[in-house]
Amino acid sequence: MPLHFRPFRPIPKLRPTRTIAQRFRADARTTFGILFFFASWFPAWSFFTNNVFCIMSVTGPSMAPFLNTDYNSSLVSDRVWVNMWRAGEGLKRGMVVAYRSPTNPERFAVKRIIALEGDTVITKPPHPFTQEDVPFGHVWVEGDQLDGNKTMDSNRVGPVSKSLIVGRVGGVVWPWRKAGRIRREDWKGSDRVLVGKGTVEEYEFFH
Amino acid sequence: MTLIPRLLSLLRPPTAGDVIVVVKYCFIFHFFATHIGGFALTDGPSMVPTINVRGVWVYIDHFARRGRGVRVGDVVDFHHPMVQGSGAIKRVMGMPGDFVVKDGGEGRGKMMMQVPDGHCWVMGDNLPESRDSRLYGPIPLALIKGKVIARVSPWSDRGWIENGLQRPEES
Repeated sequence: MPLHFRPFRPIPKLRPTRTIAQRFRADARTTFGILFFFASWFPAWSFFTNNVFCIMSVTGPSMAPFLNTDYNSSLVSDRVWVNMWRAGEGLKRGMVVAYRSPTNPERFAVKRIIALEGDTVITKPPHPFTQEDVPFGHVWVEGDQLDGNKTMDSNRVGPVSKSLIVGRVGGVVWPWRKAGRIRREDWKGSDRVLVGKGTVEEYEFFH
Repeated sequence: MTLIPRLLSLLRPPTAGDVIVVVKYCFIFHFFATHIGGFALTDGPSMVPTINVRGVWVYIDHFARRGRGVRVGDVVDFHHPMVQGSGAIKRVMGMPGDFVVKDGGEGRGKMMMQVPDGHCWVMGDNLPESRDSRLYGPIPLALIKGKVIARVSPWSDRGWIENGLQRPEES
């Protein structure tokens, strides 16, 4: 028997001399071979969709009009592709990122990075203070939506930890008319950000 | 199918099929280590009566990832909310909706606050030597990697890490 198992081996021609039990056994072997083949690759597939690349469905109006432009006239949600490899590194203002929601650990959220660590943000209404410094290891995210009641972003939950970020949204795959890469240069920038040095000095840390 | 031809077959140069099998088993191992459980080496003084300063291996139950089934009093391993790529082990002292007292240390006063939705309040067992939620606030449950359930090495110090908090006696 070879070291690697080949589930798609050629099925032998049925000969009339074979009994029903023999035929059944051969079919069962083929079936379980195929099942075992897919099951054995499941961890690799899981790694890929959790750490490398996946396609996410964006629900809700928070990124309108950029994503889900027709959120109030259509039930179709946009699909985006997410690059997840080394997600927290090299973040820049204007990137659209997917992160695990701080308020619901089983859900993802897609928002745009407005400010990085060290910046000062002039906040929007639901936030209790008029301005806030983004702390070490955090980013300030906001939806493109202008109505603050329709986006659950840093103005409600505060700065988001970079460790929560699972990936950068690379582009739109659906609907077709919007399909293509997301270009950060298309973002006009925010006038509510006082840009800091980019990184806060090393956070003194021991456990 | 006997053992000796199989062992002898290892002497030949690996084929593409052999390499694929090895890669596949690496993924299977990674899946177990991130979804089911695994051993981790700890470092630091923050959990001192429970976990010693250096060189303690613990077993982490990853079924509790993202705070699934975590209760107040459990010791959890989580992605550090400020330092990317590093982890920390602390004890959960408050779950969403609980009231906790944020003691900022000497001269900074105390403040009572409610743990927000989807967050938890973590503190080290060694309060003076621990940097925890008193410093960086409540952490999102989504950062939790798993529940620390046992010390395994050094063997003389082995034991279950128990949830020390008990329900108050009903009177």
